[in-house]
Amino acid sequence: MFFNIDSFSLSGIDAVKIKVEMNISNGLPTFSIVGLPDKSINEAKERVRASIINSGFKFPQKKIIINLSPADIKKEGPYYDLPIALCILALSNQLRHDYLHLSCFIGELSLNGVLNPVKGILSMAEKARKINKEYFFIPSSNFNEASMIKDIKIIPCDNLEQCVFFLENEKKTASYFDEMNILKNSEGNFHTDNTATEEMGDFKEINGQLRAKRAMEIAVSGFHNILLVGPPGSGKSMLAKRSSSIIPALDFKESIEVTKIYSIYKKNIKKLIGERPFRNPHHSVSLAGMIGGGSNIKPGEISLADRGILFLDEFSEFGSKIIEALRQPLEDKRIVITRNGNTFKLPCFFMLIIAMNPCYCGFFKDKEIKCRCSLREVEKYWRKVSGPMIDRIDIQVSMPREKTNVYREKDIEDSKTIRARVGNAFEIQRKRNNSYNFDFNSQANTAALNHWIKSDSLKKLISGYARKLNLSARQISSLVKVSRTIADIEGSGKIKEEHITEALQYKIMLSKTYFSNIN
Amino acid sequence: MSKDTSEILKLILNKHLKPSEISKMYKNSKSFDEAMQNIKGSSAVNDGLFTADNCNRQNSEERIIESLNKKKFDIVNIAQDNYPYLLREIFFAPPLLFCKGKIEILKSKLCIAVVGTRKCTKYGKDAARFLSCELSRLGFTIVSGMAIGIDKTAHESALNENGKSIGVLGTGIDVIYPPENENLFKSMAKKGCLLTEFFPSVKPLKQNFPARNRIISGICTGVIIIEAGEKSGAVITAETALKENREVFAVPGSIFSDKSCGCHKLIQNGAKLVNDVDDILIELENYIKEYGTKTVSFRNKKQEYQNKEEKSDTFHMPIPAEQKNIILKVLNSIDYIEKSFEEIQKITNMEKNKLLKIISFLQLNDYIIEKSFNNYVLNK
Repeated sequence: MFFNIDSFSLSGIDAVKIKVEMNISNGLPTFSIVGLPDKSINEAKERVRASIINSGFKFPQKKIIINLSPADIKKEGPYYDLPIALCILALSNQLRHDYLHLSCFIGELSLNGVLNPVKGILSMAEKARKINKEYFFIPSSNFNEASMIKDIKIIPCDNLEQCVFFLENEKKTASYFDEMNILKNSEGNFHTDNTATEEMGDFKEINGQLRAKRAMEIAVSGFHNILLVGPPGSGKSMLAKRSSSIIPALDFKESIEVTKIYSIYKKNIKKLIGERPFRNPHHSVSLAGMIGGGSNIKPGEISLADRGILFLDEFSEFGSKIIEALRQPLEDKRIVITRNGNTFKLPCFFMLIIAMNPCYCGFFKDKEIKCRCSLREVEKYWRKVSGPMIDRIDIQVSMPREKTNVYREKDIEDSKTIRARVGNAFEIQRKRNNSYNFDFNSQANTAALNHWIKSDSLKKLISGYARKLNLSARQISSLVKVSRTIADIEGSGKIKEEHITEALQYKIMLSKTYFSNIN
Repeated sequence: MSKDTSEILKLILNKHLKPSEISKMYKNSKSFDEAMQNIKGSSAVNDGLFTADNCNRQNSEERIIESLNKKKFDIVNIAQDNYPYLLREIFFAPPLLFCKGKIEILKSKLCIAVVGTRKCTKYGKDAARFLSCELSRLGFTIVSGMAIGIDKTAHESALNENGKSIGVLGTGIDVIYPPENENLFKSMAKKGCLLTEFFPSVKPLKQNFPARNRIISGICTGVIIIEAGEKSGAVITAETALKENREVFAVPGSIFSDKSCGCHKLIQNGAKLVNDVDDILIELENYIKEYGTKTVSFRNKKQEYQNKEEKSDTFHMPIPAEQKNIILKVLNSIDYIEKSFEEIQKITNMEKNKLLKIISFLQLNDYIIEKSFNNYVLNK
């Protein structure tokens, strides 16, 4: 006797449909699972057997073979306990299977039949809708996460018994779904989460540093990568941490993408993620932790920072392998990981904030404290980030130590005001860049760049300064992108000379002049 | 290879005789042949206990002859004419010198050493460049130790002036150390002369470098210490120079710089303070008279060497007419004392965005420079 049920597996952040096929025949009672299962799936045998018996059903004493198809994809995680148990019940005539083919199932069983939550539910619910399923049965603790997807009936079940009950009474299932939904909406849990804002701090807490604050505003507006250089105590980390307080929230499409990533990262996400993520990994992070990987592929910090900010404090302390590994994701905005023959694509469109000291002792180019490093040491220090990495950073800005800290300046702009300006810039960019197929200025392609800089006088200006500052071709295009963002912030339709001059300000620091004037 | 050279080689390689022993014998005898006979007769020859400390065991006579024939290097022995005449006089003069490059430079009579720390400051580099350029223009041969920092600057300046330069190595002639100086090694082998007392393929060993310093001071009539910390190798060079009765010059520095305290100590102990090239020329008057050089008329050119930067592209934007007033207002608020962005803003009372654009404009066109982070001064 043969039967099958649809379920899902994860590939990267996307779900793949998996058919759980079962054959029960007469013979020596065995229970085997084929189709590249991992350890946790093989152990499902014991869980399923116990939970069927403990839920008051009978476990058939026959030869049971389960195949997870397609058989060439490696399957991981305890997702298939529920579908396997239901297969057995259906084949042993303990369950009417009138509309099992309209439904799909996911869930881990306890020995007593209770359903435990699993990871990656959001992607699976999305996939279930795509393949036109009517019902999606899931563990009830995963309900909040799955119900972010509309147009499919999500049925949360507490245990195996309840699941069987719903399958036998379709009418009750429909009404139960409506009930759950009303309950849900009254709780107001679908609204995006805004509480984190207060923890981020506010721009008005930063005294002075006018230049750096302006640079940060530009960087956030156009999603440009930014480098903050300054002696210890100059407020680099403070500024970087407040960057997320001026960045507008995610829109719905982005929100789904981010939530999907977090959904495979941890169980039980309650709400759609609305705030842009801010990730601040310590410099001892491993390569797999940064990029993603592991035998069960997990998203790394760069993917967790997708559509948000990745802040690398004390950048020079990061391993050079990790720094070099960042180069490609910075360009492609996605990362392709291959492990054990499986290839996963994960999005990683993040804004990079790098903070570091100007030299080993930290006081290079400081006005009061003398730097103890020799020129050679300073050059050696910078060798780690220079070249290809620096090339990918649009905005470089120095942060001196502030002397006037004791006296609070009046009328410092707060984050709210800046956030409104950035939001405006976001809007302008989205409207204009739609025709070029990208959102933010930092993603601009050649066609767009050529379109933005048309007049000969601007071209002459840019090429003249580029020669003077020894800018690479990539740096020149990043210069145009930053100029475009400055123009957007100031509401100018065209890039003007003054926008380019200001953008150049953020390139001067690491040009040839940086290493002169020592001592 | 001359007969004398091969005899010395044999003594060192086959009989394990200390090189210093050979030169001692040579100095005590009237001619080379007599010295050889004395050596062969002495007890030191046959005991075979000595292992020549500056010679690698892989070396054999045949291999050295082979390399010589391939013109990988030359050997100059202590009896030859082109052996540096001043070096012959020092206490442990090396009997053999392995050379590469223009050997005739070794004959030059007016040699001066420019040495200093590897971890030099910009001031030290400027001073080294100034003195080596001017001295090599006057016909001096600049001798130094082929290290990074001051040594490198000294060699490069001399070669740039088409002057003569001798690099004394602390390794075998075919070992490039430090590796980042590879280009300097190549150009020195072409335009200048490299020499060492150590046998080929001797690796950089720390005990060999003080021995090299004694050759640097030995070749020269005087030694100029540019920058030296308290325990710098340059101070050792100065000590050996004093022992061998050479002139010692020291360039003063800031009293706050730990890179200059070695120099200051030398000055306290009687080294001549170098304020200008004249200070060196006066001390070496006798040599200059004897061996003749271009006329000593020196004009003050220090300005040229100070803060000399690589020539950058001189791209200047004309000041846009409509912004002229406002730009001049900002420019007037900046002077030669460092001023921060915030201070400038207070003086000019402008919006920070506009001010930033103007500052950027001024900086890009070299009207002002950012001397330390966020602090601007007028460009001289």
